[in-house]
Amino acid sequence: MKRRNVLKMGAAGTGAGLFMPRTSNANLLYPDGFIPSIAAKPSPPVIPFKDPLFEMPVAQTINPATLIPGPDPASHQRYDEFLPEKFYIERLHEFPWVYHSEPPYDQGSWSWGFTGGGFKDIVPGPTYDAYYGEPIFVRRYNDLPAVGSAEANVRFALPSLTMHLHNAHTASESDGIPQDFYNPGEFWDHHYANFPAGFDKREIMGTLWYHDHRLDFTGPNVYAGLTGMYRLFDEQDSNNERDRNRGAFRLPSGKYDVPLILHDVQFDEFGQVIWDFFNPEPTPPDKDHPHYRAEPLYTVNGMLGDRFTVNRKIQPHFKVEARKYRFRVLNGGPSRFYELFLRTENNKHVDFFVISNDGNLLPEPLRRKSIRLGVAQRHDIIVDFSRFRPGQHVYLVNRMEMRDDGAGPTGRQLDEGNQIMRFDIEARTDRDRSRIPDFMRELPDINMDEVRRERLFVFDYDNGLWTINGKLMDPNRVDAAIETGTAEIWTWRNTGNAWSHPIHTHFEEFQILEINGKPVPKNSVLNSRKDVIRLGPNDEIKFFGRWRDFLGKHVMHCHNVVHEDHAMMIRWDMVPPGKGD
Amino acid sequence: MSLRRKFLTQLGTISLAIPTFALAKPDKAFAKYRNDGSQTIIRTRDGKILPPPTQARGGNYFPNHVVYSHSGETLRLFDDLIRNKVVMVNFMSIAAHKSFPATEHLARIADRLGDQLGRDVFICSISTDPQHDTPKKLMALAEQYSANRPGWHFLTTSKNNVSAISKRLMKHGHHGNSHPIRMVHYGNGGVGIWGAFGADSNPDFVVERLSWVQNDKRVIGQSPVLAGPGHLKDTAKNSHNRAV
Repeated sequence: MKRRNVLKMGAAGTGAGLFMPRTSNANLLYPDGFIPSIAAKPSPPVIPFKDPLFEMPVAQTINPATLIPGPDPASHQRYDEFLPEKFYIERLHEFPWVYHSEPPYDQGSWSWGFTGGGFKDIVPGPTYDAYYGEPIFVRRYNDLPAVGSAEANVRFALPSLTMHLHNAHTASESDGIPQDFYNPGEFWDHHYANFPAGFDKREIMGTLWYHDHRLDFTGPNVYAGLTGMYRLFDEQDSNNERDRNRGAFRLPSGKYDVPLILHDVQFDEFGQVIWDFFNPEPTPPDKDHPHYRAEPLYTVNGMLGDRFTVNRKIQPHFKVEARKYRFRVLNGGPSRFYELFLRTENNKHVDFFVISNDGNLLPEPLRRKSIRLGVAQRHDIIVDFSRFRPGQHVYLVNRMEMRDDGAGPTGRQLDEGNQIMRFDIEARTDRDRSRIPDFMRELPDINMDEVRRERLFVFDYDNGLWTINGKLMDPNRVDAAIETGTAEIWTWRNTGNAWSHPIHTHFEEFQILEINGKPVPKNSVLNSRKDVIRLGPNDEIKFFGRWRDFLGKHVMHCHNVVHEDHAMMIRWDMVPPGKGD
Repeated sequence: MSLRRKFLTQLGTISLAIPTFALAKPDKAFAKYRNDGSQTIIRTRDGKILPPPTQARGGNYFPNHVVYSHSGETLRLFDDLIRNKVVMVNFMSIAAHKSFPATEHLARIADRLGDQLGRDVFICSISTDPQHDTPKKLMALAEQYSANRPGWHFLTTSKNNVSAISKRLMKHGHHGNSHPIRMVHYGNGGVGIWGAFGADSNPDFVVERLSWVQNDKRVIGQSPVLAGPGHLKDTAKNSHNRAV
């Protein structure tokens, strides 16, 4: 293939919109006269698919006797009931991470990442393999240089951390809420009890991820590198495709179960990551320009990067055997939404099976050509490469077009799209004993008799800040006091007519009752347990959820982390029965 | 000049404009000239060449326009008011105070800052209505809200300058000069880290926010310190679970 073609394929965001006038110049995707930052100040180019995918190592346990001081049961709810059986540490520190092997990236990009048992200087962090019924304990040390330190090289992020395990049924004090931060020289203890909500097996989860959640600075801190995967197994989803247990799903496991964390990143000419906190006022529409025109690096609406990374490598390749794989695909943000397709070199779409939504196995696998992911959303998919011959390639492609300012999708589908990564098919080394089960996890009942009250949350915008019910995040204010052991119905309404919000609430999953007044269509991936909803312009969704098992402080927020940092978040508390609002 | 060429030239200018960032700590620093004549500072540690830090351009860039303060000073926005300072920046106009008294809100924060204001923390209140908001009128506004304090600058400049400044620092609203602006930027101009809050936020909490971005002068000991969680009996009534 000619170099020019390679570069063209690797170029980000150049696909013309499907319903846009076709022109010979792909850059004319944007309104006349407008040049967004990724066109005006593009990251240095790379040859795509040159470097291999980074496969995060699995975290290894440490000897708890080495934890000084030891864990303090008085600091954790239900600690004695869920005594940790495995112990881990993470040291969070700064080092150059190589996003790509070509200059200027080859010298490394200053990043925040992880060192601990079985892993050293890595971004993303290690993958945790946890099991239901096996509580674990993680101590995280903040070894970052302090604000203003001469040693500090990542200058855009705040070296004050709080690590949230997204999706987990974790008590407030271990959840990594925005106000539970630890500064350089300090550490935090996390107790992950690993039991299903309400001890209901239908609430078992599978694909979780952890990320920084620092109040006001989540966007830059996550962007600097603080993300990782957490796989949660049980006797059915047992991490063993050869499991002889009759109830086991035998999903592809081991090296055939691969997390793919997507981040879009922008780099300067030195290969260093760019985050710009400021952004100019957009130019309003006029008779010649039907849309608001953004300026470069428009970070109060969202932050878009022009280099697509998977597990923090720019457009990697991944050698796969001609057999089934389970990919756990996560949109790690900061702001981009994706619609992901698998495409052959002949431009044919490849079907695959979606087996989970927001990390939770569906009642049954669904055959699809694409998945849509808002920030923080996950889909597990099974791809069967056995129909390909060794030497063939399959591409992971994004076809969702974003608004130039990052505030949400345009609603148009890209034709060519962005090439995210390439799968290189090789011969199988052994028989593929994995299966795609007919049935997986049934959904918990929705029982309206349990509902104590309904709540309405309206998402809006106020002069550069993002509001929920007109208010800005204040961790000293409780916006909802929910009685533990009850259910509620929540309505989320987006009053914006142009922007989208991936809204997330911590701690409990929920089931959608209505989308814009209508029930969820049959056969939709939305018939599932959810923790993030993509609220499009003027969308309104209503859901049923239960709150149980613990007391304490949690949050609900927009997971476009730029909106989150600009105050689109509430604190909600779980309170004893009779103390709710 | 091709677009890319022009872009590189602009970059060079910016990297020259912020020369101090790389001279910190590492054992050696020397300059290297690139093909386009601009300069990169190369740093080494243990004999190994280090990549430059982030924020070499973009993230911590500010216009350096001349601005006039309510107390009659002529200042440069970046050099005199942002560079190496922890600062709050808001856009306001005297007219907009009818619907949103931003200065009244910020004065509550200033009260709590006490003598930190002017020493550790500064406030820039930039008028978006330079035609009407003269330094004299801004002084009257400051007096009205007990805001004429050391470290708090009410600023006016030419219409073009304020437009350039607000094109860089986010100012929303297309409803004329009387439209209220709730957003306040806060950050550390020496580092390049910035956050935002609403002017009407809890003023005590704003003071805490400002402490986050100040240069951290704590001496970090050999033994790491438990930040949390604290004991459940102590944290239950707090807004957080920290032990400290």
